[in-house]
Order: sequence, then structure tokens, then C-alpha cells
Amino acid sequence: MQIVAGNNTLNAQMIATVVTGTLSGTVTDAATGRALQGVTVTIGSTQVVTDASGNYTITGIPVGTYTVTFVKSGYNTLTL
Amino acid sequence: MDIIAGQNSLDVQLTPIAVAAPGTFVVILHNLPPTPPIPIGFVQPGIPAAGIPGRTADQWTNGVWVMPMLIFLMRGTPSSGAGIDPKESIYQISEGVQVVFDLNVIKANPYYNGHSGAMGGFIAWVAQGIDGWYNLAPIQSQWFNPIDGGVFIWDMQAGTISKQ
Repeated sequence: MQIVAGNNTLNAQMIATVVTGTLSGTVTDAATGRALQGVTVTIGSTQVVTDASGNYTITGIPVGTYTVTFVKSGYNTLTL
Repeated sequence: MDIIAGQNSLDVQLTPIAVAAPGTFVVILHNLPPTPPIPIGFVQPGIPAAGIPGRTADQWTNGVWVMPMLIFLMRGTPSSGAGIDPKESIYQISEGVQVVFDLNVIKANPYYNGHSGAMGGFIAWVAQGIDGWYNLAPIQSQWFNPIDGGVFIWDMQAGTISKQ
């Protein structure tokens, strides 16, 4: 900007940016090693379900510390 | 867990909930070896079959593997396992299969060694011969005492068995 003689005014607007991460992985059966489909993965208020290959991806998670849970009928619930 | 900016990876394993009914125990077979643990030449015609005196591979059905994996419950039977009636004591299995054993049936078997109180089993590669089933080579053997029932996970390659 150009500064002129006398008073110069500058109003600025800051836009907050939330830094996020993506969490992804694979869920398998501990006894067989097979991929598990239909496992509900929860982190914060976000839930996804694993696909036929046992894979899941959760995007847009604000950086921070979370509890992640994995739930499927017939299996012990895992909380990390 | 901590989520950082960018990519975060988390692979997990879930443990199945298995329940053994009263009077039974369950064995979950896990981590099975993918191939026979003995030289393939073992089953070529004319080669004596170890542990089975007088037998040669050409007496088996084309000398091929006819059953990939089976589990025996020994019940105090002769250690070679040869000649066990498959209808009674051999269970065809595959990765992750849960084999349920009835303790009362086991105890009623005349071969069961009730004195030791221990039962055992092993996984074997088995061929069907002209007059029965033949255990070619046990690949793992675990002796444990499931007399109180329960669920056991048997890791074949690690050689461990643990009660769930």
C-alpha cells in the first residue's frame, strides 16, 4: 500500500484455517487375518464403515487427540 | 490417538468372540502354512512313506495330496496317526475354521487316555490311500488340556496355542 502524508487506514480480515488430517487403515480378523467388512470406525463424531477389503478412510479430522473405536458384531470392541 | 496434519494410518485387528458351549471346547485354527512342509519328492511313486512301514507313495491315490489340511484329535492313539478313521477323528479345516469338540464324545472313545487328562492334536497333510487315510507328516503338534472347555486359538506357524 502507499503511505501518504497524514493518517492512513488499513482494515484487514483474517480467515481462520483449520488444519486437518486423514485417518485410514485396514481392519482384519485377529484369528484368521482376513479383512473385515462392515466394521464401524468412529473418531469424534465421524463414523465410517470398512469396505470389502477391510479398508476405511476418514478425512477432514481436525488435528488433535481422539479416541478411535472399532465395532463389529461377533467381535470384541476395540478402543484406542 | 493423535491426529496430525496430513495422512495418519491405523491398521487394527479385531478378536472374534467365540463361545464354547458346556461340555465342549473350540479350537480356532490360524496362520496355516500354505504348502506342505515336506519335500514334494516324498510322494513320488516308489519312495517309502516315512512312518508307514511297507507303504510306498504309489499305493496312494496317484501320489497326490487329496486333502490339504486336517486336524486330528489324538486321544491317546498311536503317535503315527496312520489308520485313524477320518469319520471319527479327522476334521477338514481351513484358515479360521472353528472346530468344536465334544468332551463327552472324546472321553467315550476307547483310545482316549483318561489317565493323563491331556488331549492333543496336530495338523497334518494327509493322502488317501487304497485302504485308508495316511498321515504324511504332522506340521505342528500342540498338547494342551482343554478338559474345562473354552476357546483356543492355535497359531500354526508360530507354534502357539492360547486360550481366549
